[in-house]
Amino acid sequence: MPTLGTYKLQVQEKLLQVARLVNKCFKTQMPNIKLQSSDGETFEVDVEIAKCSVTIKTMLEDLGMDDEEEEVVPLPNVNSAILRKVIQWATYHKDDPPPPEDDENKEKRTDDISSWDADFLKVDQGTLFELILAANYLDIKGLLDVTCKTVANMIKGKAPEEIRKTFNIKNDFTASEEEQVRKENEWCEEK
Amino acid sequence: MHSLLVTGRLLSRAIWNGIANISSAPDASVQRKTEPYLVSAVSGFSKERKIQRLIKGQFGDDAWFTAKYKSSDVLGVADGVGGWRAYGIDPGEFSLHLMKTCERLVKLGRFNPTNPSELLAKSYYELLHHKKAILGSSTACVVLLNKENNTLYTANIGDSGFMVVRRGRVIRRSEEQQHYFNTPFQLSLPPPGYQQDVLSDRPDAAITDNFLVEDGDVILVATDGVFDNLPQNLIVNELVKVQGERCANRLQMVANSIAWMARNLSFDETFISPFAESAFANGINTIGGKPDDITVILATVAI
Amino acid sequence: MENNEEIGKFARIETMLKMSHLEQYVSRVVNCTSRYNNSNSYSYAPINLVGKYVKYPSYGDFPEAYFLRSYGKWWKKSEAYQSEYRPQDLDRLGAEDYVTLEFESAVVPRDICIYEIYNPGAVIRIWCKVLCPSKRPWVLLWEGAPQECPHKTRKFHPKNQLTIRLEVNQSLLEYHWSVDAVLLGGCQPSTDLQYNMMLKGLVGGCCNELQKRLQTSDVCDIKSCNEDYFLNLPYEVILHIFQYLDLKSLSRCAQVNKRWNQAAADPVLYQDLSLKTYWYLVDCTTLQHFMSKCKTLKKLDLSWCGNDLDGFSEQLKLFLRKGCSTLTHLSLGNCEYIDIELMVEISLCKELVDLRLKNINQWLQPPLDRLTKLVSLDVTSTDIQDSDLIKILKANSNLKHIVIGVYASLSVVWGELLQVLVTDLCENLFFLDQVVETAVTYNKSLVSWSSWKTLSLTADGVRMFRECTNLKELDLGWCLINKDPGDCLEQVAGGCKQLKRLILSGWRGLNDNLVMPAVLSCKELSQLDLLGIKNISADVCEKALLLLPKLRLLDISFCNSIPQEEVEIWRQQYPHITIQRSCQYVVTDYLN
Repeated sequence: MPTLGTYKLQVQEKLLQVARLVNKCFKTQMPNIKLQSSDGETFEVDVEIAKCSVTIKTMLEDLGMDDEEEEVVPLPNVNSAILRKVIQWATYHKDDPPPPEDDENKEKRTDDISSWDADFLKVDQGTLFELILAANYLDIKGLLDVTCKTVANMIKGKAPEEIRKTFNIKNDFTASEEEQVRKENEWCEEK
Repeated sequence: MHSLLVTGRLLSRAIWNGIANISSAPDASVQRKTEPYLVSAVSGFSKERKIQRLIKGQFGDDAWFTAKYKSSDVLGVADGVGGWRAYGIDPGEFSLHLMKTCERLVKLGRFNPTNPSELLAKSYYELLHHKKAILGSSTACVVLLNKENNTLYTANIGDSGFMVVRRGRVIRRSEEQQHYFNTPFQLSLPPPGYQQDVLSDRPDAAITDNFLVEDGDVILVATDGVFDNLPQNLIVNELVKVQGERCANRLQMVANSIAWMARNLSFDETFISPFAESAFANGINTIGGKPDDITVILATVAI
Repeated sequence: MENNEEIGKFARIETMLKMSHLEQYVSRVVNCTSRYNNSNSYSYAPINLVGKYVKYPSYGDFPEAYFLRSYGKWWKKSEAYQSEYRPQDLDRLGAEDYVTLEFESAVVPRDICIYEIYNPGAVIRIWCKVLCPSKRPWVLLWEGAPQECPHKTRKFHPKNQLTIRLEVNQSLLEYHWSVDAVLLGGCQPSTDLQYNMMLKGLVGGCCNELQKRLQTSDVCDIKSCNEDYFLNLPYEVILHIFQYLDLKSLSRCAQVNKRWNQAAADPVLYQDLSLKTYWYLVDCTTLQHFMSKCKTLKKLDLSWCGNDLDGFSEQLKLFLRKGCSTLTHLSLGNCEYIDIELMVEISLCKELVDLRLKNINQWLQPPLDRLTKLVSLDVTSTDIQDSDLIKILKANSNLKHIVIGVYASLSVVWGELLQVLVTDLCENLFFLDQVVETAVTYNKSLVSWSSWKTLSLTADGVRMFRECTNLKELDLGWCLINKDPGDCLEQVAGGCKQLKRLILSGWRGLNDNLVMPAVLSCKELSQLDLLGIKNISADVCEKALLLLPKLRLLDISFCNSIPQEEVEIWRQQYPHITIQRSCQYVVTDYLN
């Protein structure tokens, strides 16, 4: 995804601004940092767990840390319900080995979701998509992968109309356009 | 008394075996009358007097098959060379698989209906590809009736053989191929590394022949257990009895009696058998029959 | 329950047409993707599927039945194992191989009976080719997951025209799967009218209903919602989701709305393309469809696709020409239409690293030596010739795996070059020793060599492998059937200390003394195959079990000098090692 990089950059810039505002509030030795959700709730989290978010990790590294008063990191794009889930996920996966870089094939399978993750993601669509957005915003690859895989599994094997129904998507094709795309993609239909 | 009982059972087994063979080719009777076919019966004995597991297609180290495919009827016998026992190799296995493979190739139609020697060769090379190591050596004789031209094609390697009798006269008999006395030509698959120590003849060393047959001709295909113990006149006396015979059961009775005679004479220590005559001619002074496995395939040509 | 419905459907049509019932065995094997035999040999060959069963109800490893080359999970653990190019599109049931069978008379299929006589359970799909396809010739008759079945013969009898194809997945089996015969029961047209109706597809319609039921069976189990959350997702995230989708799902996504249509067409999603799973759907239009989508094609797998289609090879030529500058992986197994012109196109894909050309027969000296970056070459069961292979080896001096197989009287090369070379069953390799010599001279980094059943190899050729010190896998099964191995294993064992996999099936001349050096010096060995060697005794096996800490698979089938009781004891002593031992349970039936 070539464009993902630029998106990430924007996110990181924003975060940097936020972080500057709180003005170097972390200490290296300190085991915990505080994260604040969009609705104002703060969560105290082990630094190592928080660092599974590349966004937070980069920020901490870029800013360095001093011994000043601990302050909270505001995460204006994540509400408390979602942040709680994200922290829950990150805590469970804190000892996971880093994702293999080269083994691209394995990553593209969707049948390898662990049973814990599957249970964890038994949530309504609203939560699932907010988790995706949060994972994307915080740049947590493992969570982004597993949530996207879950959505991919919801898409797989469905006819276009079934997909629209599942996700409540509006069909904005005109009748003739729809006929045209149907023809283009006819190869995969059995009959 | 005991031994009589045993031989009696052997005989009944041999008969049953032969009949089973007939029933495996039920389409013989529905052949169109204009097309020739073979009526056949099989009989035989293992040299061992004790009762052994009876495997279809095998008498001791001897093996046989009958098979048909489209315009061909094929019969064959093979005699495993006993010397392999000393190497821990079952001599009957090689001959049995050689014949079984011939049978399979015929049934699959993978043969040339004018070239039984090629069939033998294919079967021989096929043995190499078995997962099970089939080692040993064997003599073999295959005759093939080609219904399209009423011709009998034969291939023979070693001292098994065939004999064709028409109206009481032997019109064709196979030649024996021997390296020296009692050591026939043989197809061999020795364990690799032993090649130099073993007599081995290539499948193309088979003597081939072909000739026209007529309705009623009697064909005997048998291993040396028959030819070494039964003088030709005795064999011919039996064969004329089934000239033109189409009833498989009567054919079976004669096949049984040939096998039975050969067996009895093979254990007769005073009989001057063809084997003893041949030994005498080679400067060996011996007398009596030659105890051996015996296989008889008897067939008549029906046109 | 489902079956009853099926029967009902078929039955109704029969009654309607008063067709006569006909049962027939296979009349011809059209093709297959895997076999155990050389082409001049009938033992274990596909041709054994023709006609009535000969071994059933006996159970076991008989040469009169059809066997495939591999079984179980062992092949997937090999260094040379060829992973799929597009894992998103892995077949749900894991089709690994197929065999296509022809029956003499066209019928409306009613049932089909597969006589499995060894390790049953591998059939996952049955396809049939309809006489007059409205659109696509192949119709699915039955499918089901691979099974682990009890060790006894099975008349596999799924309820179900002229040509059928069995798709096979052997990964759950402990050892080779074997089939003796296939019986097709069906209704035969008894009048010209019925025959014409069948030709026009009026009768075959029943299959399509079955088809539809299969398709819609996976109904969505997720509750729909009131909000379109995709509207909030950045484009990149949508792509992230779409990258997990198979090609079929992508095509359906393209029909959802305009935004999805745009995302589902992103070239990023089409760098790796594998249509093997969809072989029955693929035609020239399909190829055109994907040609327009693939901007930077890296991996392409069209195995099994495009046979019997007019113009497919022309279309493929265009496709290759378009992708040649970026293509690194290419697999065209069983593409029977490949000719010299296509080979020339392939040879122009200079970036190719991985080339798989299994079961392709018109080689005619293709200029494949223009390829210089090959790491892996598989030419299994092709008629590649020695000189061509040697040229390729010289041009690709970093070759890692080589697979050559012998098929028929000559030799067969199938394999992977540079590091991996597979030349199994290559009948036109007459001088495999020279190929080995070239390989060890030019491709020192060779990791995997396979020339299973390529018969022109001799002990002299084997000896040369001692130069390849990186060699991890050596599959020389059946190469020295009736040749004296001499000291060649000792030489190999001395040079190739890293050997993990050593396959010596059918080397009749081996004995304990000749195998021992490998057991003593190749400490990494995890797979050792000694099938069919009569002179192997329990001693050397015991040493192997004891001295090889990494051993996981020991095949001593048909090693008849090893007593079965001994094997049972080993199995208890070494539970982590799979000891293969083929069996033959003969059910004597004099009337058959």
